Amino acid sequence: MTVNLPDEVLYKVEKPARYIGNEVNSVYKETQNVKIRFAFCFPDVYEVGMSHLGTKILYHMLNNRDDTYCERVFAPWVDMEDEMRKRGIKLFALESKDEIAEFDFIGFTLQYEMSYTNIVNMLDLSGVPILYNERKRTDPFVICGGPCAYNPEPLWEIADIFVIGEGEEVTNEILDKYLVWKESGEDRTAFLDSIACIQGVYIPSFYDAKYNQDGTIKEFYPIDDKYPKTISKRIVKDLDNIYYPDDMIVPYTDIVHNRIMLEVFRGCTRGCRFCQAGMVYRPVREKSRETLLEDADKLIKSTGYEEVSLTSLSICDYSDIEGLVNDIIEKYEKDKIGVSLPSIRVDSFSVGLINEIQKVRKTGLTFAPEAGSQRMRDVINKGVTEENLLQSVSSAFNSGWSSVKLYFMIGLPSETDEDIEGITDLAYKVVEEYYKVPKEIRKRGLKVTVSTSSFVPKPFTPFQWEPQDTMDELRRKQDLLKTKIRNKNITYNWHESYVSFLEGVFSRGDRRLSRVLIDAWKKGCKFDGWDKLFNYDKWMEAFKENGIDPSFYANRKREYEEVLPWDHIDPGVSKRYLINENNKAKKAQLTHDCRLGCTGCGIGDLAGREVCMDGKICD
Amino acid sequence: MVLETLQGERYAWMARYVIKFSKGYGIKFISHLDLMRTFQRAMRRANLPISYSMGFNPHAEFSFATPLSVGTWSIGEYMDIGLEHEMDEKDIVDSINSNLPPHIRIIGAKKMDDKSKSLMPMVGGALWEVTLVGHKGLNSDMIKEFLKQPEIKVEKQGKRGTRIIDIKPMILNLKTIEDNGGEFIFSLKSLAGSKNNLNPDLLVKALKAYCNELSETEIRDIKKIETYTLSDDGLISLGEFFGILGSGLYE
Repeated sequence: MTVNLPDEVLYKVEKPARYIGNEVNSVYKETQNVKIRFAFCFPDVYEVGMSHLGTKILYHMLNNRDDTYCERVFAPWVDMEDEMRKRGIKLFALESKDEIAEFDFIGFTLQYEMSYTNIVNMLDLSGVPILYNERKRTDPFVICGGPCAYNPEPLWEIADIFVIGEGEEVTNEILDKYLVWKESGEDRTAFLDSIACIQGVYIPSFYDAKYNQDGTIKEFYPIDDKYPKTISKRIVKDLDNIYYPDDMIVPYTDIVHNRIMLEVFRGCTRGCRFCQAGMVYRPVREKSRETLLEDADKLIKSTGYEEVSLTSLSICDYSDIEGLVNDIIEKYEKDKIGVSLPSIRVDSFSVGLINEIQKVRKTGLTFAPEAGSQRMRDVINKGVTEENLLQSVSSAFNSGWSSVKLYFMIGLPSETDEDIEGITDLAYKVVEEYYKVPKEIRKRGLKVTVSTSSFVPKPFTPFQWEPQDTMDELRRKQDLLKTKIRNKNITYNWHESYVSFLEGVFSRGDRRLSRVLIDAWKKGCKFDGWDKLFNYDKWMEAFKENGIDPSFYANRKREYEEVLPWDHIDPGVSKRYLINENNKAKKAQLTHDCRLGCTGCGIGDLAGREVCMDGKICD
Repeated sequence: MVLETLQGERYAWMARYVIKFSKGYGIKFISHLDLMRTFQRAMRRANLPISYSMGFNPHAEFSFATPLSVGTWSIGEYMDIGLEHEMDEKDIVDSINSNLPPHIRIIGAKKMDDKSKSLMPMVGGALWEVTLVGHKGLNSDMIKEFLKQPEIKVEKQGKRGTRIIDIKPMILNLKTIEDNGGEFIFSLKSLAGSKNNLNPDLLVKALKAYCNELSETEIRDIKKIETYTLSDDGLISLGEFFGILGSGLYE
């Protein structure tokens, strides 16, 4: 049923363009001609969700199926939600304005833990039961995927299905099975049963957990032997031959990343020990230059965008990055189309490259040394030296930049005050580098911005056993920096520690957190990633009422032997490798980039050795 | 030919065209900036020989006659664009239209005299159609009473804070079109432009302040019918002024 959304509502709310659809390249279908209605939900506002590449890929891919109509749904902002609840308007899909409660699937992409209350809220707004076991045969299946699905447990009662790994192939397999089930007249469990053994599919209700007296997990097991003990992630083997959209929606309203996103490769070979993406997106698979130029050409023609962003982890690692950038610039310079690199390395090669790209506008450069001291950078395996950084900023200042951002983490394992002070020292040295550049060459108005975020240990990283710093400790370290950084050219920014704490709880949480999540939502928590809406006290009440100590998840050190809540998920990178990396971290020993030779992470066993960098690494 | 704007941006263009277009009901909630971006991209897709500013951040050379507020749709909007060489007017219309989203349409194009002013300062008035709901107590008699006031003061939110202004001299015509119980529709012809400008939402605000019974009244729709310029014969539509085909239909 189409919702009755009178215009007078939209005259009242902030940014009404969030709710109207109708953008260039959005897909409209006749609903009577399709068999599957799929609501692709991003649990945040339009501007954030529309900037997400995975959503764009899957939206167009699903709509490529004649039998399927995929539509978008974003979290309505609080003003819109108030109007909707007041007038009894249910959550609707952007394209058809139909209530999503009548759809076959409600899909959520899990990009960050702080969006979980929005998932609960969106289900409630749509009228679909929040708990899986309260849904009836005609209710949609709730399917979740994305990076946070690597630890699915805090959402286990809310999702019917999790997709682990890359969604392109497995989603199609699930939909094919669904068509068979839809005709069959069997109950919901029968459908879940029919997909439970597909690689990359995890059905949480088919598993159960037993706990020890101390609160740790004793055992985690499938309720029937026919279900897999471990769920391996899905990997797309050949990126040159996998679906990539040749058009993308061009929003009317401005969004966070308003440009063409060209995915260049997947995975990362650097092996930074804090980085979940660097572990779970392995193996590295590059697209060929030919494919990329073809993709870029189609997208430029279909969107009219003026900027192509080369999107990947550590983009400068692409084997032929210079060639690719030059090709695109050369081909489209006359059309005034620019190239941008979202992430650049701390080295002079990258600065040189970006200098090529930004011939006229030198807006500002961001470097991520991640830690202040060399010892700390070795612990996290960030293979960057002070010399690298100073050379890079020096060449940036020499090429006309005067605004530099430095990004660090605080609260890293084994961190001391000396390491924190290293952040200050580094910032001061950057200022010195600026003044070394002759006056007539350097651009006026030096601005060094130091940002710290608080380290959150993540599943499937070498630091998954490590305690997170307490909020008090993080605040103390932030205060230390605030007193040490006293220079008119340096600005210091930091993140609120209580948000990092809650993120830490949920990123390594288990099944028992799902009720806390629902209770926190009942108390009014939503948009927890938005500072002005985050309510720490309500969250703490919800923990207390459920008899759960959040620091058990965030601040406790785990032993290697402990059963972790995500142990039944297999991302390909082996536990043995992670333990070895953690041990090396304790000794501040580096592990080299695996482009220089296989470091034995185990992904080759899952993906096939020929897949990892086209077989160039694993042998 | 090179032209330098007051902001110091330089344009190179050979031919300037005035274009009449519509912003459809389906996207009435997009902003002025959103609409500008949409045109930028459509013209890029259309592969028109559009002139670009020669500044640090090159952008296509076109400007709207008036900004259109969020929530307003229109069948009488105008813009001018600069092209690097002359083109057939019909070809311009067709090539932009085939690259615009379905809710925006080019109605006509006409080559401008090189010496002709830019559109923005030419704008003198506009015609609107406004739909209200929850209008218990509102009727055409009350509108007449409302207009009999010696002055109609209302608080206007500007960039530099709020101020009280008298909108009465800016109302050229205000009449009820339909009152069917569910909806109340009226038309407003008002002054528009950089000096004196009255948008319908401000008028509705004044109306609500005039009559307490209208506290529940909400705007359901604002449609702009036409944009006018002041000529020797009074207000005439910009389309008529430039001789664009398809203009003057809504008078």
